[in-house]
Amino acid sequence: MQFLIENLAHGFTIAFAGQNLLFALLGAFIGTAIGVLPGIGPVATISLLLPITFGIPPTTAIIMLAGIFYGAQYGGSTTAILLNLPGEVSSVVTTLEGYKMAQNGRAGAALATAAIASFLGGTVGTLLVAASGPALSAVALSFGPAEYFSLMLLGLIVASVLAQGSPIKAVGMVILGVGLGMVGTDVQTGQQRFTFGIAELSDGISFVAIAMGMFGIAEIVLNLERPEARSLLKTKVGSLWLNREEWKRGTPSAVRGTLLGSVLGILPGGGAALASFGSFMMERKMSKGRHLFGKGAIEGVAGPEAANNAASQTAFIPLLTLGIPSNAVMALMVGALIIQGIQPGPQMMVQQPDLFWGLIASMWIGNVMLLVINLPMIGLWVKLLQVPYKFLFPAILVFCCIGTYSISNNVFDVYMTIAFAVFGYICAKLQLEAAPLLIGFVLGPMMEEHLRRAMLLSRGDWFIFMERPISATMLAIGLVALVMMLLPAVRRGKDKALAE
Amino acid sequence: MLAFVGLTGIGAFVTFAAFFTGPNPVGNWSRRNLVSLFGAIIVSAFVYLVSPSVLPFFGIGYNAVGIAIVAGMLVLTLAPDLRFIALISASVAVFGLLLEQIGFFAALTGTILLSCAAEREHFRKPLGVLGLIVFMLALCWWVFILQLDIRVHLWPTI
Repeated sequence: MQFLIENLAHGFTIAFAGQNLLFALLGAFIGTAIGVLPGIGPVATISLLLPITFGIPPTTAIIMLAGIFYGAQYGGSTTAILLNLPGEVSSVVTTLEGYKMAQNGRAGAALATAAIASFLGGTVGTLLVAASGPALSAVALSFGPAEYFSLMLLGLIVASVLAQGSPIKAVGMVILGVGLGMVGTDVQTGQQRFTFGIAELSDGISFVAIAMGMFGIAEIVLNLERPEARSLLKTKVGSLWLNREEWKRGTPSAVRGTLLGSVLGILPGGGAALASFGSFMMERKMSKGRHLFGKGAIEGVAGPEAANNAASQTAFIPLLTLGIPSNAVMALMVGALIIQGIQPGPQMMVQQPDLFWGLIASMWIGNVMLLVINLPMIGLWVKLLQVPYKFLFPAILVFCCIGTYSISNNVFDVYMTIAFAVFGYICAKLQLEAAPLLIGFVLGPMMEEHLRRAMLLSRGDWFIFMERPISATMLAIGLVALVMMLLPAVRRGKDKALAE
Repeated sequence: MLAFVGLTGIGAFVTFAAFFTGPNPVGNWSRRNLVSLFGAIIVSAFVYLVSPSVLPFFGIGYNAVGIAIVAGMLVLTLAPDLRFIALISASVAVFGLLLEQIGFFAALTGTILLSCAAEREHFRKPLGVLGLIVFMLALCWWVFILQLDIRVHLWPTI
């Protein structure tokens, strides 16, 4: 406990440093803005801003990027409540009850519920990151290459199992991502792999080109194909105060959402969207006001909003302790850390204490900032919604172009981005999720490295993965997850849950 | 290499099959879309091969790739269903094509102009596009050139 308090105090001194505080505010502000604006998500925004982070210290950069991620969860609820249009995937369920509340003249109360529940979820999630970080890092330090390989394999399997849509397609995308990660120079032999004599590919395919193409530009095209339909709520936002009854009904839902979100955030492929969907289902079955669902039940706002924010914080646990990204945003964070010369993983807490504890402390500060940004400044966000997409997309596109070019000052990456944009567009048309590909791309080279190290240590004996208990357990869990995914009954259940 | 060829073959087969069985099967594609797609591929290949001999500018670096993408994508805009992806891809390629020799401001202007063509409303109100260009040039110059110190020519070098 003493260790935790001391380190958190150190973290707060880092987070309160002028530059870090300013970038946390900037991240929270940008996050809220992109959460509010439908058609641009945290993955695209973080990809866009990655090149900007090169010029600032790593701690400051990660604090800002994290702020964008959890800020987007806050902002996403605003459009969900006022426009019946989710700013983020995780806010889809907030539209169901939040918009109904707004129609009933309780828009202010719905917005306040979303912000307060988000604050609760975010705060508890951050506490969990702080508490579990050192313990998990200590466990992870005992991991050898075999354990790491098995853990990453498990991560990829679970990411495929929990992905939306067909699990077979998700597995295919993961494998493709791993394959793309193999392009470049083999670190052990120095041989070129799949570079076709192109010098620019000797360092591998640019991570930013993939992220920018598949999440940034492809998303612009898909948004252009959908006609813009934004109609602001005609009634006033009204008072932001909740009445006693609303407090009484909303509080248990927010607590339940926080607990569920905290757990689901850690799971690979889980994250904020799964947490909010799960919480909504739970509230509809368990809450006292379940009969009010469909008429503007506050439980349907408090639970999912707390859950998605808790999940967006606890998603940092596997990244900070094991170096494993649990979703596409965390994969971008890995990319940002690696570009800054930092290897995420259990050593990070020891080697980069400023970054580790500074980030955790900044999450608390960021959550407080978001409460202020979202509630008293609601008028500003409503105004922002009036900016037409026809002016936004050329601006986003220009940022994508400059961002990609500035990575290595080479137009080759710009042309690669086009290739991935077209590929991302085709994937979207064929209902192939891009997130598993990005996770596979990030984890693939790391997996390969650990696999080869493990094989060197065991002198080519594959049983090393079975002989070590932790490795064997993780492989067994992965196998069970894979078998369950392929069972028709389980698949039907998942499809039914998603349809609901 | 054998594994690569094998996997590429399987991948090509799956992609081809997806055009006929997936949620967006080729059966729904109009003749115009298909002709535009194949036309774009042919034009791209032709422009890539011929452009360096027509103008030395296209022989520098990856400029031949850039002009090939622009030409191919402009042909693809003839397909109504593929207009957005074609115009957006072409505008990114214009950025790559113009940036290093023609300069930062020209590249941004070209990208914004071409991308704005994706939204028909801009044709009715071109002043909005002009305002957007001026705003974006100033913003990008301030953010990327002044603040982030990205080393790139602002004006043409040829």
